[in-house]
Formats: sequence, structure tokens, C-alpha cells
Amino acid sequence: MIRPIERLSRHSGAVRPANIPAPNQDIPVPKDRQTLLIAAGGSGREIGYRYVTLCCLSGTLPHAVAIDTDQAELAPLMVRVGDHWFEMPKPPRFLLGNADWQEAIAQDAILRARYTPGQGLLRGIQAWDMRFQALRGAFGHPPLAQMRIDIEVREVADFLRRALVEAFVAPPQVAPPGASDWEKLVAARRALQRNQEEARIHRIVMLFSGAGSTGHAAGQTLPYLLWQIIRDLNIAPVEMIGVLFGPHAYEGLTQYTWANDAALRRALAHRMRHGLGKRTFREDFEVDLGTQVPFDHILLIDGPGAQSGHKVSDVELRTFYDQAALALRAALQREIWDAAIGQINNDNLGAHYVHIVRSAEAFADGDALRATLARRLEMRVYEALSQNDA
Amino acid sequence: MTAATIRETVNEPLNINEQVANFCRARHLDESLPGEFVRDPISGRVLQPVVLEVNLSRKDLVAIVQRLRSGPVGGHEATIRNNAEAWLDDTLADLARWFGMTRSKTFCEGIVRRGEEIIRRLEGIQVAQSKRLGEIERSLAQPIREARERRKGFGFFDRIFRIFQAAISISESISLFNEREVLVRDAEALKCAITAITEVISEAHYAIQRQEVLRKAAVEGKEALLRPGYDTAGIVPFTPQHYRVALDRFDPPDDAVSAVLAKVLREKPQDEQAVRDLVTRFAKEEAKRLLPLDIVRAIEQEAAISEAVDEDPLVIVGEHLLNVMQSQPLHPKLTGREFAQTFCYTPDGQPLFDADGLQTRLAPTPWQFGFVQFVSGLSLEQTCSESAIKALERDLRERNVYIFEDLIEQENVERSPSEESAPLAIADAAFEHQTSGNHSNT
Repeated sequence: MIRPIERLSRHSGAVRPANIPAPNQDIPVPKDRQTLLIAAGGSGREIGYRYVTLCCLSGTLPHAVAIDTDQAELAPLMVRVGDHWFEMPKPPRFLLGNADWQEAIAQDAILRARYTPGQGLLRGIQAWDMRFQALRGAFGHPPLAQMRIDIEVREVADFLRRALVEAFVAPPQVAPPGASDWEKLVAARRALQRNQEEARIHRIVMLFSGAGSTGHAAGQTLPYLLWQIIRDLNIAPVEMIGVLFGPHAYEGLTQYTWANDAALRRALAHRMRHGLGKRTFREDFEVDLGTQVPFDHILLIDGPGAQSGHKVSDVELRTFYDQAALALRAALQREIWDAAIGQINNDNLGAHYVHIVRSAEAFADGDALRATLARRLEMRVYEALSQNDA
Repeated sequence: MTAATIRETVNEPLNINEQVANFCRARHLDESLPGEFVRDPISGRVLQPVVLEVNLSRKDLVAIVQRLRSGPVGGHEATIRNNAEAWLDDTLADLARWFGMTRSKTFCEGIVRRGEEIIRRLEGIQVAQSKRLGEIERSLAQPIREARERRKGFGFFDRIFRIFQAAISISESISLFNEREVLVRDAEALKCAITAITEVISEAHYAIQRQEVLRKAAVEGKEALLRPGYDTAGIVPFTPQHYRVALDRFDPPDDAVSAVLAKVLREKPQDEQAVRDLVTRFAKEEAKRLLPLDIVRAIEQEAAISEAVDEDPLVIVGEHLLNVMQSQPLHPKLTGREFAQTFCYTPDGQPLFDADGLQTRLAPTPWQFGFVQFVSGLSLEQTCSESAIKALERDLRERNVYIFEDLIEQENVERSPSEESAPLAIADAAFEHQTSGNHSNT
């Protein structure tokens, strides 16, 4: 049945008056230098963007990056900080699909072996689905997204390396040349404080879903690259948290939703039990991680699925993104995360055990409440003044 | 009962003169005002100056000489000035409130007339006080000076002896000393009263002279506020939380309005834009003061201005949030071996609720409280529904879904004995706990 669109309403981020600062302007909220968020795939990006926005409303900004095969832009989200509105900056994204895949495969033996159309990894995938060069996206086929990652693996690794450096490796805090004794003392003190802060665990939070393609592939492949870069950069201690969304939340979005999700869970469970092992990428780029598991902890967040029919509506999907971001923000806040993981560790649960997260929150926007009160006061004052006769 | 009070009692509107009189009575805007400033702000008792007693010991005599030689002791000046400043703040706020209520510049003109009249009277008292103070100073200074001039080099007790022999006796000196201390205290109060009343008059003058400016600014300001999107610029902020506090119906108290008005009048802005800028600035400051400290108080305040309920509003909101959280799906069929950790995060990290198994932690900001639950004890395989596994096995017959060759190989190994669907080795015993159905909640 084709339902006509009956009503339009303005999207929250669509109104952009002149006094809103440019999206890239720094929001006056302190950075969280202990958390790096990596959002993979369309839903990972949607939830990641919301998560970062909620963190901003909670007073800290984690470093966040995204990776996707789809060039569609996220709808902007607006936040109020103090007396000013800001368009929340979107996490910088690595857009897979810049290289000519046919040429890349032709030139590399490993890729040729893996991605021969109709065989091996690409068994059963239609030729039409592989012609996504112009359209982008991986059409719900994880092997196609994986092919993209494999082709651009070095660029992806560089992107992740930059993200890790920016997030965790702070520039050295040294006193400027010619600094006074006082300035040197302050610089040393700050360096000490930073070191003390950095003694806390560095968290890498990776968001992905198994129901689609890019999140599915990235959720399995990026841990190889991340652990290798972590070793190279000597970042420690590190806690890698995987956050898996769905599959009910994506019910009916593609015909592959259930199968893709089940395949990811099986594959991930295998790696969680046996370790990542060795993986050879193109141009002899080899990563050998032995028994290192992809994630230290895996969180699951799902939605109720389609409330009517066989496919979730856009509204249901957006509601899920909001809910997932809220649950994630609540679960990852340090006080709670440390307590919950402490208990889980006490129970000696293996890494292959997962944790379902649910949450609900009440919120008061202090800045907005103050603005509302101020406005009502202004009105009352004007009423008093305007009623006086001349 | 005065005529004005009787008319007020029967809700009959007062004329301007009666309103002026009421205002002045309420604010002690008369000759009694200096007396209000010489009171202890906490106890309300009159501030007592230093007093010397007549029955003197030798030690007291030394003290007298030292004190008579110097100026007055005083000591209450700071308290008197603080009292005057507090009175001025309250009176200006009151003036702004009355000015707003009376809707007439005649009221302000009445205040100006009354203030000027009181200042004239207080200045008369001030002249008399000053004269008397001069007399006392001269009376006290003369015998000491004479004694000093005549007997330079004489001993201490000799000088005291000279005082006894001077034009005034020691008891008179003590009495004059005590009177001088009272006068000094009252003179300070008088001076502060005149300054404060002058400020009130200046304010009222301003209100009269700039009434048109204020009125125009008010009309323009109201129009701007009523323009759509004035505050939010038409933006809907991202607030996906399950309960949001709104204080749209919260009416700021009259005191707050008066305080803003008083601050604006004190600044004496000269044009409409300046008035509006000040109103905006002071309204923001006042709003900050009025704003609840955290979400808990904000919820209570919201409940207080809404329809009355018998239950604790925090419990109502808390139960709503718990219901929302617990209605979110868990999906996999639970085995019964799982365990849940439920946290409540609150503005100060202290428990808001008593419930079995509920842990409390600190929220990131004072404007949040909520619940989060971790359900642990399921392996990844157990979170796969049977229908999803069937879908995967169906799909695997037609296309590859895995992204790594080793997993495909493993799948093929598992499948090789027959083409029938068989679980991977990795999804072994865990599936025993699976039963049909993929939507279940706890």
C-alpha cells in the first residue's frame, strides 16, 4: 500500500538563522581526552552523532570519527550552550569508495583472490550490486563493504591512527622559550595533571550494527587495525568497547537484515573466543594479533522493531537512534561504567559474554530554563513600564 | 485606623496622595529614618555607643584622659552604612514596584515632594547636631590644652589633677564624652539617611523625566519578545530524553520583577535601546538567581505550579522512567542465568529512591537524573534468534554473508557432511538454551 505524505513539519536542525555560529566553531565544552568514538555505517554514524551531542549537553566532548560507504549527510542537531546555539559538528568521516575498485583488484593478488565476482567472498552477489561506484553504499552486502575496506585499508589505517593520536596523544606541554620560573612551574604542574588523568583507561568505543553492510564489515575488520595502531603508538591501558545495534530496530530495512546480523554475531563470537589471529591485507600489510580479542566488552542495544507492518518507519528508526544514544551515554558515563564493569569482572564473565543496555532519563536544560525565566521576567517588567501613563 | 487604611481594607482604590503616604510609612521615609539605621540588623536593638561611668578607678582615669585627648570613639559607622545601603536597595525595589502598580508619574512626583521635605527637616536636625558637637569638642579640648600648656614636663597624675581644676569637672567631662559619642553615631545615621533619600528622589525624578523613554522601550521590548522565535531563533533543540522539565508556566515573583525594575531605574538609561539592554541583562541575572539548583528541585517546582497531586513528584517521575526503561526489549530468550545491574544517577550522587538492587551514582550534570541497566550473562550466540539463524542459513545457500575466508571455510566444513543446515562450531552449546520466539522481555 502506498501511503500519501499528508503533513510536513520543519526538521529541528533545518532552521538556521544568521546568528547561529558556523558548524565548525568550537563549542565551549571541555574535551574528554579518555574516550574515542568510532562510528561505522549509517546507523553507527546516526547514533554516534547523537551520542556526542548528548555528551556535549552533559558537559564533555569525546573525540569521535566515522567511517561509511554512504555519502548521505546526517541531519544537523542543534544544542544550546550558555546563551548561544550551536550546530553540533559532525564527526569527521572516512568515506569508503574513493578508489577505483576494479583497477585496485586487478593490481593486487590478495584482492584478486578474495574478490573475484561471483566467487568466494562475492559468491551470490549480483553484478548489479557491485556497480555501486557512482551511487556508493554496499547494498546490504557485508562482503562488498569489506572489499572497500580492503582496497583502502592503508588510508583507513592512517585515518584511525590520526584519530587515536588526536584523541589520546596530547601535544607535549612544555613551557615556551623564555618562560619565567612561574610559567615553567605551571607548565610542569599541568603536565603532571595530564599524566595523572591519562593514567585512566583509554576507551575506544566502536559503534556498529550487523544488519547492514558497512557497520558489519567495519565491526570485524577495524579491531585488527586499531589494535595494531595501539601497539605501534604504545597507548596503554586501553579498553575496547564494541556496541552492537539491532537487529529488531532495523526490521524490514533490507531483505538481509536478519541473516547479516546473525552472521556478524557468529563471526564475532568466534573471534571473541579464539582471538583475532593473523590477517593479511593488500600490499603485504600483515597484522598478527594472536589471541587478542576484538573487544574487551560488547554492549547490545536494540529497539522494539516495527510497531505495524514488516518494516520500521523513519520515525521508529529515529526514535531508536535517540534511545540508543541515550542508553550509550548513560552506560558509558565513568562512574557507572567503572562500577558495572567492576561487578562483571568480579563475576568472572568471559569477554564473549555481552551486556544488554537499557536506560531512561529525565533532563532539564538549565540554560533554556534560565532563558525562559528571563524572558518571562522581561515581559513582566515591560508590562509594568508600559502601563504607566505619560 | 486611618481613612486610607479603611479604604484599602474595603478594596477601594487609594488616591495618589494616600499611596505616597502608604509608601513613605512602609519605608520609614520620614524623620524616623536615621533611627532605623542605628539598629543592629540581626537583633534590631539600638546600637549603643561607648559609655564612660562616673565611678572611676585609677585605671579608668587613664582611659578617660587618653580618650578625651583623642576624637570620638564611634565604631558603628560601618553597620550604619550597611543598614542604609540595604534600606536603599529595598526602597528602590519598592519604589519600582509602586511605580509599576500606580501607573502614574504623579506617584513619583509625590515621592519627590515628600523626600525633599524630609531632607529639609533632616538637614535642620543635622545643623543643630553639628553645632552641639562643636560645643562639646571645645568644652572637652579646652581644659586639656590648658593643662598641657601650663605644665609641660609634669607627671601623668599631675595632668589629671589639672583637669579636675579646669573649667569643667571630671563628671561633666564624662557626660560630654558620652553625649559626643551618641551625637557622632546619630550624625552618621543622619548623613546616610540624607544621602539615601537623595538617591530615592533622583530615582523618582528619573522616572518622571524619562517616563516616555521607558514606556516606548517597554512597548518595543514586548513586541520583540512576542515575535516568533525570539528566544530559540525557531530552533528545536535536540532533547530526546524521556522526561523534560518545562517551567513555561512558572510566573516570576513580584519581588523579582521589582528588583529588575529597580536596577534598571538606578542605571538611569537615557534611551529606549539602553533601557531594553538593561532589562535583558538584569532579567537574566535575576533568572539565574531564581533558577532551581538542579533537576530534582526543578521537578518539584514544576509540580508546585501545576495541578496538585498527593504523591511525591520525584517518585512519579522516577517510576515513569523505570517503566520506560523496563519496557525496552531484551529480545533474546533469557536463560534465567543472567543478572542485571541497575543504576540511578542523581545530581549529587546521593540516593533519590530506595529500591532493592538499585545503585546510585553521580550524574554528569545537576540537570540529569535517570536509570541505566546492564543485563549480563548472555553469550553472543545466545542473542541470535532462531529465526535469524534460519534466515542466515537460507541466505548462505544463495550468497556469502561472511567477510573472512576462514569463517567461510569453517562454515563449509560444518556443512560438508550434508547440505542441511547445521550450526557452526562456534555456535555450539549455547543454542541449547535457545527456544522459539525472538521477542521477550523481562
